[in-house]
Amino acid sequence: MNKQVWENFKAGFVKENPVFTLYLGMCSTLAISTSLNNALGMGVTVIIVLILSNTIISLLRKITPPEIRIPVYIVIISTLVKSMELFIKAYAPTLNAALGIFIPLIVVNCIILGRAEAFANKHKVIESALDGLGMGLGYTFSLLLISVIRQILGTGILSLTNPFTEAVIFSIKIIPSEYVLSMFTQSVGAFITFALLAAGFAAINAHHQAKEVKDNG
Amino acid sequence: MKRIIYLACFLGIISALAGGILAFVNDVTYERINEMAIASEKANLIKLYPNGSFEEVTFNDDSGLIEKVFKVDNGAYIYKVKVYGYKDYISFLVAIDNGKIAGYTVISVNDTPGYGMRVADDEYINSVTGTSIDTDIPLLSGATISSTSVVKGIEAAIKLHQSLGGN
Repeated sequence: MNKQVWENFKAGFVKENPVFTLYLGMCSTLAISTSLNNALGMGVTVIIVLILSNTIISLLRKITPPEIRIPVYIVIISTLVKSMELFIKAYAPTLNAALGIFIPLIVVNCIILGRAEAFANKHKVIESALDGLGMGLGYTFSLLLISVIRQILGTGILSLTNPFTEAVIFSIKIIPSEYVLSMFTQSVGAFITFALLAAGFAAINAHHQAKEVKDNG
Repeated sequence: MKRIIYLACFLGIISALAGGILAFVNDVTYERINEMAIASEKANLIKLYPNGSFEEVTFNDDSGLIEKVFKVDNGAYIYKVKVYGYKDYISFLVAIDNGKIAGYTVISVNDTPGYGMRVADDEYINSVTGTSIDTDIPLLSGATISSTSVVKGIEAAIKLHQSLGGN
């Protein structure tokens, strides 16, 4: 069983990557993936919400009446998201300003409801929490991939600041400002980057599948 | 029937618990969120009056462009104005004192780099600062749309300033 848990956890990165292969939670992915800061902030917030929502929903799975499970999940998820929003406003106001409406919109991020419905209401607490962590990390990994590409091509600088103190952790100038493609900071750049990365993930998965078929037969 | 009551009660209990948790989190964070909002406002205000102390003033504005008004301890007024520039909102502060624009600083602008963005540059700040409120506020050639919006905002602030009875 432990191997199964590990497989579930790993699947979130490539094989069942929520963004690039399941195409879940794309609105926020496309909108906020302009900088490393936004990606990390959003990613960590989603990880926390996903672990907690999976845990709570799994704890309640035996007493939740199946007819009203979706409203129950929504109440739990929105409570968690609103709490996170208040904490972010209180302790990381710059992150709140950068992510704006996309923090409250985590409520409708399909990854979270999707995992509640597909996993947490059928599995034990620890497994559900790990699934939340794995899926959350997969989402964060996808955000980081897109935002690193967009930030470098769009602004020429890769930088990270601490959202709690606003201290700059690092800032590297990679492309001189005359050669940056500001298109990548706009939504066009988001779609192009996303499409190319999704194609790459599809190619990797197709390759693995072909190999599995060959090995088994 | 029994089932329906059970379902309603279950959802009711979950919602009540959720409400309780939210009230608790709100209680914990409320003061700090307010402090943060004031601190971020003050970080901009001290750009105009580094040693001033500020007091928020209530006001009645017809133009809808003025977001906040602060009174500085030396008698000047600072207006927080938000206007629509070329492709996004421009938010700026303008200080009026002694019949003059005593200070002007841009909080956020997202127009075209090299054109509209120049309303936040020193060149434009210097040309606006010191202008009498009875004369026309200068525009910025090459950034006509953005600077026209800014001037419209400043004019609204002047009008409000006169109705507030500021000097």
